[in-house]
Amino acid sequence: MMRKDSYKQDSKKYLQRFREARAVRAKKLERLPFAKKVDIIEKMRADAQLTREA
Amino acid sequence: MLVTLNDLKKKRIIKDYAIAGGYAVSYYLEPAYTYDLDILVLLDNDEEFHSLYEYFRRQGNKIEDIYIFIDDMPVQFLPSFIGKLFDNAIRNARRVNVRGINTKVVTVEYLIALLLKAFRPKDKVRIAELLNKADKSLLNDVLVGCDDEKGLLQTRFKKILTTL
Repeated sequence: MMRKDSYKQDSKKYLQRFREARAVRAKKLERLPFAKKVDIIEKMRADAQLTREA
Repeated sequence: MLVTLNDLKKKRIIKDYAIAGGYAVSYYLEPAYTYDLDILVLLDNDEEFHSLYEYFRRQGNKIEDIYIFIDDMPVQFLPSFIGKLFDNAIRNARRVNVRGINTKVVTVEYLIALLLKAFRPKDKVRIAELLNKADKSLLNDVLVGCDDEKGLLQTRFKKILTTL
């Protein structure tokens, strides 16, 4: 029971840390110039295309 | 891509255009994957819209369902005569320069209104994220000014606000 509670707490903390890190990353990416953002989207599209073809 | 879109304007095939959809969302937020490029085009009627498709057909561009492929990018053209929201979104779009090429992106307030119109699950998430970038009074004006008789945009917006 104790182990289960500890796991629950750990996973909550992990999730919180994950959300915080994601928010920081999103803020950083948000500030990029549009041209750079377009480059990133193009890369994502190319990766998705490769996955589809595989 | 942007050069092709600007050429359409120069050749008077369209009167004006603005980037909407996923690319516009990425303009205001972090870049996110999108399959296509949504372009709002200022056109008066169905014949002009047909001429746009004919132009690309003559140029040899691949046309599949709703998409015209430009430089391997599926582009969905949405004509302004669909409604006031689309028309005003183009007319009020902000000028942007991408690597020396001038273009236009819909304002965040019109983008939210357009996402309210589509209202898919991913749109609802995006609206919530875009809200703190919008001028609330301007957004209200857009929603009131471009809504249908049933007040669909305003109803959907209220629904979103209750989830925040």
